[in-house]
Amino acid sequence: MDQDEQDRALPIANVSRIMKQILPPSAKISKEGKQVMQECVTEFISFVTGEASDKCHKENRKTVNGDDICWALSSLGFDNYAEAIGRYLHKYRQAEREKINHDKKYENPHINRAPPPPLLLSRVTRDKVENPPPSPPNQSG
Amino acid sequence: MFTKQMISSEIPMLMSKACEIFIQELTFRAWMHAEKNNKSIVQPCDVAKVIMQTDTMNFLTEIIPNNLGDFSVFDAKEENIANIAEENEVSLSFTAGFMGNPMMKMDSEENAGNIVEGNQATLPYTSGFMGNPMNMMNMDNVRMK
Repeated sequence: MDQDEQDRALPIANVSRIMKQILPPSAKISKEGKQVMQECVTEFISFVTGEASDKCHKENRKTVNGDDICWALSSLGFDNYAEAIGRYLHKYRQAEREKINHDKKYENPHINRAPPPPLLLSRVTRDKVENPPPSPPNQSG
Repeated sequence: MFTKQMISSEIPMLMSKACEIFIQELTFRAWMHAEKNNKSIVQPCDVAKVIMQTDTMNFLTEIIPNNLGDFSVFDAKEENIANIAEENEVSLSFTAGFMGNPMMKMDSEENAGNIVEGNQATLPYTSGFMGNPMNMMNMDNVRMK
């Protein structure tokens, strides 16, 4: 993989970290092994997104969405991935909806918003407001 | 001529998760292959063998270097068939079962006896992976920020 291709691939440090997560501590991975994995995962991305993109093109749609990715994974034989990703997508959309509702609530003050409490002043402050102290006399001389 | 397409905001998040699962599966299979040959280091030839032997990974056959051993797709398939005939049936159900359904629980009582009978070195770790690989597939614990 030359430098130009390397720039388009996923970062090798991240690929390496994911590889190490799944293996026991005693296992080691060669540098070439990491590079091959980097190429494989780059190809995997192209493979899946290409399939999803073709589906959208056939259906005259301009935007590829999460359901297209799930369909592509399933049609390419990665049924187990599609099931996991489908659940992940459902959770993501749920979280997005909650976030939008939360933002709307705080943007619009009339939705589920209690009236602001009356201004409560302490007794000392109230006395100062009602009976201000006499101003000192001008001492000119 | 192909028109330009857009992607929704959820695509990068979904694809990153799919890539994570893909890397972990391919790595684990390659490690199993390396360990079977009494090697502690996962090398490109192990990844290549896995690609040759797994149907869903066949799209990667073009990108693996040609110098990773003098075996063709046919040889790899032949070797795989020979392994199925020779090896313990239990150990194969653990290693080959992952592509079929990674969500299945392999640590149930009916398999407890099989684990003892099978290869002691690899199977206990494999069975743990099959059951719940680092909570990778357990999406109930996912918290979105």
